[in-house]
Amino acid sequence: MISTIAYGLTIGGIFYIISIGLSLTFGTMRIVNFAHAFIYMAGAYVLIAVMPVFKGLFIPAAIVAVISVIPIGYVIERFIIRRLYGESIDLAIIATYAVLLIGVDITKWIWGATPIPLSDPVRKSLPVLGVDLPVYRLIIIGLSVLIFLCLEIFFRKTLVGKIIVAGLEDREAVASLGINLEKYFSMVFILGSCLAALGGVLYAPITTVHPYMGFQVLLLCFAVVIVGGLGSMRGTFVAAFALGMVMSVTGRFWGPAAEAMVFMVMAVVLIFKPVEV
Amino acid sequence: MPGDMILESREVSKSFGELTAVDSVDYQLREGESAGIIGPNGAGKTTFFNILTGLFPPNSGTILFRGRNVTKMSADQRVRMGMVRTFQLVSVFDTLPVLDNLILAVVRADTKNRNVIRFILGSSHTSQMEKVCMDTLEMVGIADKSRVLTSDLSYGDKRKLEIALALALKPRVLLLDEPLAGLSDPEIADIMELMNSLKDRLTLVIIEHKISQLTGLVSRLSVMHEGRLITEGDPDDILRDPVVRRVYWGEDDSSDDT
Amino acid sequence: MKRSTIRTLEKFNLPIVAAGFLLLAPVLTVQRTTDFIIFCIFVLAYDLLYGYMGRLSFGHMLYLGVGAYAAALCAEHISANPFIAILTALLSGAAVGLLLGPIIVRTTGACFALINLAFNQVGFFLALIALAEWTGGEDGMAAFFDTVWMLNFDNRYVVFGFSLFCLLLVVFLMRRLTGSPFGILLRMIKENETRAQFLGYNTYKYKLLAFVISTTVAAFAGALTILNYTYVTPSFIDTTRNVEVIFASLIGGAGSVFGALLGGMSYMAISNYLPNYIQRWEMFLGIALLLLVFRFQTGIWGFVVARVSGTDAEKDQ
Ligand SMILES: Nc1ncnc2c1ncn2[C@@H]1O[C@H](COP(=O)(O)OP(=O)(O)O)[C@@H](O)[C@H]1O
Ligand SMILES: [Mg+2]
Repeated sequence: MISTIAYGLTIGGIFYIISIGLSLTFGTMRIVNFAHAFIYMAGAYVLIAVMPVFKGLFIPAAIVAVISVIPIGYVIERFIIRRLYGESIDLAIIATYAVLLIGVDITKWIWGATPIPLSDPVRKSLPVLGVDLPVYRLIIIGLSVLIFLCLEIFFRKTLVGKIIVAGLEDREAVASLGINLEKYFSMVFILGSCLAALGGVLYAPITTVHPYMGFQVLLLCFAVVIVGGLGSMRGTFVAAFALGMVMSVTGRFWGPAAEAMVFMVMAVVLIFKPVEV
Repeated sequence: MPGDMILESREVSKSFGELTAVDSVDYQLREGESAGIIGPNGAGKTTFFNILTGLFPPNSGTILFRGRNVTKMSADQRVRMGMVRTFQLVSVFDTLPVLDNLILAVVRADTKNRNVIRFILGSSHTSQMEKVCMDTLEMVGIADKSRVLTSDLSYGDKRKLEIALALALKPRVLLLDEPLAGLSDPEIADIMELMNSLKDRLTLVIIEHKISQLTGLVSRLSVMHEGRLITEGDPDDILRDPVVRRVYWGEDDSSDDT
Repeated sequence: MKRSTIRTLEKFNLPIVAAGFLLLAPVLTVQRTTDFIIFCIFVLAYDLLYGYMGRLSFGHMLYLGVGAYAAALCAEHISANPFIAILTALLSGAAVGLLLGPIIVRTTGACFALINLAFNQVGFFLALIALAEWTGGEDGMAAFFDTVWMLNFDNRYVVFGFSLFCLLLVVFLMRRLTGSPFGILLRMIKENETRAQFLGYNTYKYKLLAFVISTTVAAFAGALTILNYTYVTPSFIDTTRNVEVIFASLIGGAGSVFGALLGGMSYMAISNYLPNYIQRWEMFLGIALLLLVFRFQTGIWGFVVARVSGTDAEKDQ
């Protein structure tokens, strides 16, 4: 039971970290950004690529992986996302999906299609209420809560954060104040990309790394974003952990049904929630 | 001349966050009447229309239309009952030809067209339907542009098309939200003429900024200010009312053409 | 080409489509042409939602799969009569549309795309694992059909002829649907749904109708696929395959029956022959999609129509 809860919180934490960027792009542009899955995957692959350079040390490799997606995020934002302002939502979705396809293929080109396993970087367990829990998972849970708190402070207390929140709520109003929202939105995009890469890095030792890993996780994170309310930061946080728990509890009884259950929950939420987007 | 009560609001309120855009408005309209609503920008006129026509529900209060409580009814139900509106920012279908904009309104209004199978599988351009469309376009004076793509129309012509769209629905009550805004002088003259010819045929409510135009057209004028209906009465009396002059002219003299 | 040529094309659409595929069959082989035909039916179903109503589904493989599995299950458990199997597929497609539609059509934009995708994923799970007892799980299931009215569906030519007949039927249906007031309403919903409500239409009802028609016709295509291939596996409804029909809709030109046909043909031609020459298939697809989005939004048919009206406009001056 304890380990089921811990597992649920772990994947919840990872879902949250990945979903932030999705939710923000949803909020700013009303599109789903499939390219996010590519960045997530890129984080994991870069981690694997640079681990040997750091003699197998996880933390420096992780930092390099997270930083390395900044140029990727910048290029995608500058040359794809920004050019999609004013296009129809459908075309924007298709374009980001195209980026994902290209990204997946580049990854296959460089690293091949075989899954690469990665071992637990901490390799220690902590007894909690008589159950041994891997410390690494506890770190992930702690880290996701820490990120949530940091983002809360960033969006509520700093000027830049406040501008972004105002822009999420009413783009025109903020733009009419003469503030160049595009600059802030691209910052948000890159922030979201780094977090996606972090998600990929953190999840890599728990699952395996393969070119289609992004697609699977992305679908689940979309569910998180929809359940949490499009563009709502706190909603995303709550939904991530709720759906993480749904997954782990379902998985305990019937492993293969875990993902399907998440989508069922999303459908139920959609039935009862008025959707305007 | 005015007959029974046709449209009525009772203590209708609507807030957006902290802002109370419409504040406990009581409003009555009698069948056959032509009424005007004036008030400075942001007074809540459009929001009031939105509630009347069902774009969104009020936070509190009741709307009665033709003796029925329609507060919870959807916009399309109210349209089918005969409540038709236009929008402050002209809203027509840019991606369709002018004529196609009207077809559905004509289909809606024609009781012979209620057949579902015919609606789904029948031709959208029968000569009979096209004729009704052309007649309506003729009425607003843009019949020559029936085959043009709507996005190619001038703003004034789009407004005429939107009025044609409303008329094709054969409304009992027609609510026009600033029908003269953004038009040139000759276009204003066209629309004024049209509205004058309409007022004998249906019940009309007009939101307008150009108060001078309204005096000859409507028999009653209501004034909104900061969400409240502050006064109403005969147009000439209203325009002489010192309170109205203060909220209206005192606030923004040049608002006459926005 | 002149505008009158297009009008002629539209007037004689059925004979032209029939002749086109009959000419194609000797070139491509009969089974492959049948493939093309069935995919075109699927694109037509898809385009009713995407091109006309403006709702991008990222999970339409599900409805195709529903048809295929329904036909196969019918053949195995109820009756091996191919027509009963097709009828079962159509009813299943409609039932799934009626079941999921009320949730799905309330959403638009990104949500619409995703919720279809999510249901597609659930369907994949059902076919692969939860219902593996019936569907055969990863191995899939085969279906064999009786000969009825001298129509032996083991014969490639019979399947070809029957599929072509079905395509003509669907083209006819789609042209009627999109040329009706309902068709105009769908376009209005695409442009501005709220405004369409202010014309007195309960748009929800019509969106649901369009959705159910789309899922039913997609299931039809699924049933034909199983006539053509005699087996179906879960990979048939893999979510990543949705991009195929999106690509086809876009390249042909969304929102026109001819566009959908051209798109279906183009995608099938590209995907059947190009991978032999291009190793990086997904990259090619991605780049092509980006080009379509940024440079060629109107697709082939839109391009043709624009060229034609362009030359006509020059003549007018
Ligand atoms: N959808 C909305 N969301 C938030 N505020 C709104 C909305 N619609 C109107 N308002 C606000 O309500 C007030 C009344 O607006 P409106 O009804 O458009 O006034 P009017 O038509 O008299 O100019 C304005 O302050 C406006 O900013
Ligand atoms: Mg207004």
